[in-house]
Amino acid sequence: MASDLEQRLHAVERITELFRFERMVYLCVTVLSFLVILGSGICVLIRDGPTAPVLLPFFGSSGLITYSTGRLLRMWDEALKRIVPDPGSEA
Amino acid sequence: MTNPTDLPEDTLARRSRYTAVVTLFGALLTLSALVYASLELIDLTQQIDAKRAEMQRLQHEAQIGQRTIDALEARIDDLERTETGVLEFLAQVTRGEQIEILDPTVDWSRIKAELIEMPASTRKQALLIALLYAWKEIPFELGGRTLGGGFDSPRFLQRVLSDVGVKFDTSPGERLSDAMMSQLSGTTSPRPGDLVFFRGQVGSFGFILLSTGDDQAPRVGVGTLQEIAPLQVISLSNINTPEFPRIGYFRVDYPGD
Repeated sequence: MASDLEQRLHAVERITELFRFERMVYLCVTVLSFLVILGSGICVLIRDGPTAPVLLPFFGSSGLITYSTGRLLRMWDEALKRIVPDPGSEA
Repeated sequence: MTNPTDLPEDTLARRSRYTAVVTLFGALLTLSALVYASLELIDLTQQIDAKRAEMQRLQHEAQIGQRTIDALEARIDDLERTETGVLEFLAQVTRGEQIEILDPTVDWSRIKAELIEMPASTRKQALLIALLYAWKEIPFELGGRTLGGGFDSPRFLQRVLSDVGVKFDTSPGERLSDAMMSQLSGTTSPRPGDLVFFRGQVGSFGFILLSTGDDQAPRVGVGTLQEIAPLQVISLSNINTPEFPRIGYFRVDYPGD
């Protein structure tokens, strides 16, 4: 049992290593988008309210964050599936 | 990430890098587009604000202009009423009174309407001056050239035209009427304000045209004929006789006309 869990953890570590670059990219996109949202928020506060030019990058960046975070969560979900397989699955 | 354990590691790694690069490129493109669009929108907003301010300024100027136009229109109405009043006054003081400046055959209402319809100009001013002189019942005086001493025909015309800036040069020994005719150009389609000359017993005499008339109304002029017919408004059809044949009509070039 312990040997099986170790094998699974090892597999997860191996896969995580394989997808490191992709995760870094998603993380960078998320950070960049967050910075844009932060800039938009500051603009809303210091300028004359929520105008279209400010809200455009605000909502656009939130979409990018949603996408990249979704991809990261899917990776996390796949990793968990490797460690704790679904009882009904064939793996 | 679809069942990655079924694929070789190098394939998984290659696919992952490919996905990462495409995602990175797409994200950077999207963020750049968003920032660019935002900057363009800011620029457009500023331009719209500037145009709006310009429009408000123009609207303000238009309102000021409209107020000026209203004031000028009121002024024009006032001047037209004054002009009508003066002409009515001239007609009233001369109708059925001792002063008779109107030839009984002259249709005063027609003359008045034509005068009112004339645009403001020195030509119109000359006609009004001639009418006012006629109202003053200035006597005929051969060679006379003053309001108190009377006028003869050409000197009355010279006085009226001089009042609006039209001057004539005379040579020694030359009759004023001849000088005037030589310095004006003849015309067969006279306008109000032009001159008409007739051959008289001594030299020539003339009138300033008040109305050019038509098939139903004769031409009307202002001038003085002789001692028995002092300065007056007269129908020119009553003058053109074998004794006093018409020489012709002469175009006067008024200043600013």
